Amino acid sequence: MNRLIKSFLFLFAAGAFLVGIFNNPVSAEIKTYVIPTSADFSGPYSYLSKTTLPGEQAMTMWWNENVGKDLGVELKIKPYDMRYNPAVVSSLWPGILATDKPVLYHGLGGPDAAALMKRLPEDKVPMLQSTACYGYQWEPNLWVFTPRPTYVHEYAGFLAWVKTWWKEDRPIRVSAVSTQGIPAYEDAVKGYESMCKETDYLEYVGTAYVEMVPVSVVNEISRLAKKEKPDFILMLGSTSQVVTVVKAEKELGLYIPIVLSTHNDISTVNKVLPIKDLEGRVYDVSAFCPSLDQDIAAYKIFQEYKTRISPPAPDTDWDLSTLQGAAQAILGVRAIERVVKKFGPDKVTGEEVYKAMYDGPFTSEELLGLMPALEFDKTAPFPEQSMKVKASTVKNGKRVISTPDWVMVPRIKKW
Amino acid sequence: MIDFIQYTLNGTLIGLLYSLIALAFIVIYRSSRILNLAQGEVVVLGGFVVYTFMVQLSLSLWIALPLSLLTVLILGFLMEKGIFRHLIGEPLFTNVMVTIGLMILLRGLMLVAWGPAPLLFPEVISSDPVTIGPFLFSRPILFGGVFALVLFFCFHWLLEKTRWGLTMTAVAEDPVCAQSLGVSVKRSVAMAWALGFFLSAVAAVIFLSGQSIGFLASDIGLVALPVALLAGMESIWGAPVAGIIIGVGQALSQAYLDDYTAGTMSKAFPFIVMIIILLIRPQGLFGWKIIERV
Amino acid sequence: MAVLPCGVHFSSYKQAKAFIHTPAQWASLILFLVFLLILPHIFPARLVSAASIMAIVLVVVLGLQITTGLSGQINLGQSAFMGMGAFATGALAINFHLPFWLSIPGGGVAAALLGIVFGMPALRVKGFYLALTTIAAQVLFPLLIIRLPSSWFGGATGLGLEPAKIFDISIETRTGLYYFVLVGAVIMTFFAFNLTRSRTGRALVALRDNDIVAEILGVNLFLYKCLAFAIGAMFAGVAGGMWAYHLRFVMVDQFTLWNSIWYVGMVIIGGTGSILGAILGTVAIQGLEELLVALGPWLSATFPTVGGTAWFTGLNIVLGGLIILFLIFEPKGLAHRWNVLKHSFRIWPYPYV
Repeated sequence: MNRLIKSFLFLFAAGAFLVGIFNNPVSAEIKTYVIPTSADFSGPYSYLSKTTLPGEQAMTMWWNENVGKDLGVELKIKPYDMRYNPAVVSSLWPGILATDKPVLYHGLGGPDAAALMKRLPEDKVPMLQSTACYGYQWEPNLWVFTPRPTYVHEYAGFLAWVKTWWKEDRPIRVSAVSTQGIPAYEDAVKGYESMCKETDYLEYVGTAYVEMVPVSVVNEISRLAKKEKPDFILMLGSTSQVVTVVKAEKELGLYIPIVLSTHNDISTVNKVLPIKDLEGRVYDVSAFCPSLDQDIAAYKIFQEYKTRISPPAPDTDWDLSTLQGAAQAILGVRAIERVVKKFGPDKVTGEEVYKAMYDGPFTSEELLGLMPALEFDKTAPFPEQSMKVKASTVKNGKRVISTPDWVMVPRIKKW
Repeated sequence: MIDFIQYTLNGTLIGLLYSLIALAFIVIYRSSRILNLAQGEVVVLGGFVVYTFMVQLSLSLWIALPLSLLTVLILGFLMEKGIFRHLIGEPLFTNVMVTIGLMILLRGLMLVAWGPAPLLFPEVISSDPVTIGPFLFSRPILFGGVFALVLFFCFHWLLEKTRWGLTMTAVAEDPVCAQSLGVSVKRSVAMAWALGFFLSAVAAVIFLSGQSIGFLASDIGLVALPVALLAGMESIWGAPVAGIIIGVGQALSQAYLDDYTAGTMSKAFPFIVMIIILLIRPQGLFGWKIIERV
Repeated sequence: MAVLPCGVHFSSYKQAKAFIHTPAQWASLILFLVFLLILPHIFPARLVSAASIMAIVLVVVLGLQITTGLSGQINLGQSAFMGMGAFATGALAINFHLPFWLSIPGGGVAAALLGIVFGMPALRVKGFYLALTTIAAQVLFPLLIIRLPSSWFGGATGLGLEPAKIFDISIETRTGLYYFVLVGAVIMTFFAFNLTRSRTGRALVALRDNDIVAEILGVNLFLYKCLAFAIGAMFAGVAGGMWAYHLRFVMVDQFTLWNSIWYVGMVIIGGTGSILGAILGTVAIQGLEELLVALGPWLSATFPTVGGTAWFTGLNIVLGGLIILFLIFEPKGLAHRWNVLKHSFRIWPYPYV
């Protein structure tokens, strides 16, 4: 009898609790707009969200105080833990639409793209993505904006820069290290092959496949080096993979430059490997300003605001993921700024923000030096006409910027 | 030709590393009839414990290593006391499911305790390569392979020749019968887990020396399963043999087949071997053949 | 022993096989179905989409319950079968322009075929070895999909689908998708319940209890082991098809080993061996997940000392811990608790019959 009553009470309480949780109303103030942002607190990239979010919040707060206040608009960043899982994005999205009435959405990567790409034109909310564009996203007329082009484009830009100082007569031999079974990497390899086929000064010589967390890649690297003799190795992979490849090169006494993508830039790898191992062996390239460059306006703003955001993040360094979050945020707020200036503080909608993205180029000053001038068009989610990259490397025990000016990325055919 | 031998030798060494992890698995199985699907997580946990002692507490190698091995032994005991003691005699299904639950639990604990970012694992064995003749070997893996062989000798002797080891084997064969003959089943299972954790920690130290450690490293456990299966889940000596077969197979398919299959063969190889073995000889190369009577 | 409601006695086999005996039970069932139908109109949008995902996962877990709970064949590759269904549905929809009521069953059939292939070793191996084979299936599946030509299954780029259409009306809104998924889930649950009381269902249970004795009694082991996998995989395939139309974008990394493991967790917590257990387990785990996601920001803001991300990673600890605790203390799962509840209710005020 006691058991029975206890069970009933428990069930009843649980039910009431659940209904209460899912029914939390949000009161929308005038002139405050919510920008929901995808974060990953418990999935494979959770360590990045810890630093990306402060970047976003710092930029938004700065804009609120310096620009938004005069225009009568306040923007709020609201993080959701999507766990890097498209099912979670898909199930949370209708709730976000209904309660937050967003004018913009900050996506983190693949799962957001997968879950929302097809829906956004109907839901009329544009999405900004902080990571590079994926191959499957290269479609016209998406409501997804990626200020960074695909990784393949960034590498193309890097190799175009290499061409400017390349002294030998033959084409540059390019190889890659990838992992089997990961769609994004496989897609990238297809892209490299296609890019090299079309460009006369590039030659693709082979791919080495390694596990996500490899035991040792000495075999693969020595085989690649001996058989194909590449000049550069393009590496898109995880930090563990980069670490093992660098160590393999060290063991084999090789100095083939590894070109890193930005989710593992030199500073990130340096957290795990000593800088002397990296000398002469790594480059990184990005369509965003390298995190090394502290002269840009965004850096100073971040340092000032990082203690003022909530929760405060005084220990956060200005590294790659902070930068990505900041870049994403600043582009978004500038687009919203255009709408407000044109239509007034009350008329900001997702559709207007979407149109504003195409309303002429965003200057580098507007973007606080984080990105070159960007001009979007409807043929692709990334600014195909105006893509530029910067590269950095390690010289004399320090990380230095190799390209003081932005390097133009050549246009590549879709693969 | 030199290349072929180099690939084979490297594959052998990596195979010995796989077999070390498979050995942990086999020891646990042989002594308590529990199939530890959480083996990968246990390896990484061992690695994190060593990391804590060496980096976060900044102890020297000679103090940290024994301390961490001791900690890991204690963890094994606790695992038995907390969980597996209650499950002695339960059907196989339950045991498998509990290790699945353990997998999820350990991953969560590691994420909370050490965070998700990759950390630098200290170089327990220096990374300078060793050159023997025309062949180049990675030092940690070479040491690891040799050390693994030594461990195999020890465990084989332990489980086959000592009274204690025979007791554990008896428990694995039939716990009820063993108990009726005066063997402490609880102690045997506890010992099995402690040893299994110990071996996993050793494997972690070799595998991760000088590399980055993160919760995703538990994928290595997935390769240990086919190796254990190929060996036969009760055989100590089967582990290095099976490990070498799979290690060499993987290395060679990587060297010669990967270009045609875009890397698929080397990743799929252990699993394809496993399926073939299961179909032809379910008890593995050296396992016990179980005859079921109704 | 289950106690029947008062006044119920059987005079025919048909009555004995029935699940629902009294008018009150019919009434509860109908009320429950009506509740599910009007759910989108009384609950907020968030809950509706959570329910849609829950319904899809329910079908997967039902399949897993049939393979693992009912027939005793441990299956750690259920997510791969779901993926097979999703990709097959997508391929049929895109390449052959089949409408959803053909492409989803097509996905189910494709998954069933894959299930048979990976279940055939079940004839030679048992228990843990079978679990390993299914792990192998799960690991090999993404490699397979990526290697196959892009035009088949999208390769590395994945498949993008057009929304499901009934007579040219697209099912795109969240409410529409909810009903779409609900219909599928109700049909599959109906199948699952009926399976348990059919001849096939009894053969599968015999397989679980003692397969050697079953063979002696005339149950064709090979046929029924393959059937166990085929049926379970078919459920997963249908769920995959629904997933494909729901998300409208199918990619290989949506179907991983960890998904399979979570499905097994749901089966365990719900109670191995009963269809009701599958339902309860799915609702419990998915509900817990949604709860933590909903509460997460509030919790990490209110208790910053614990560390913002700990609450989220804590979900893993909670799930793993729950599985272990359930297996130690409540191995028959939530379904058993539910039956105890019903039993106590029926014999109240007596403590025992």
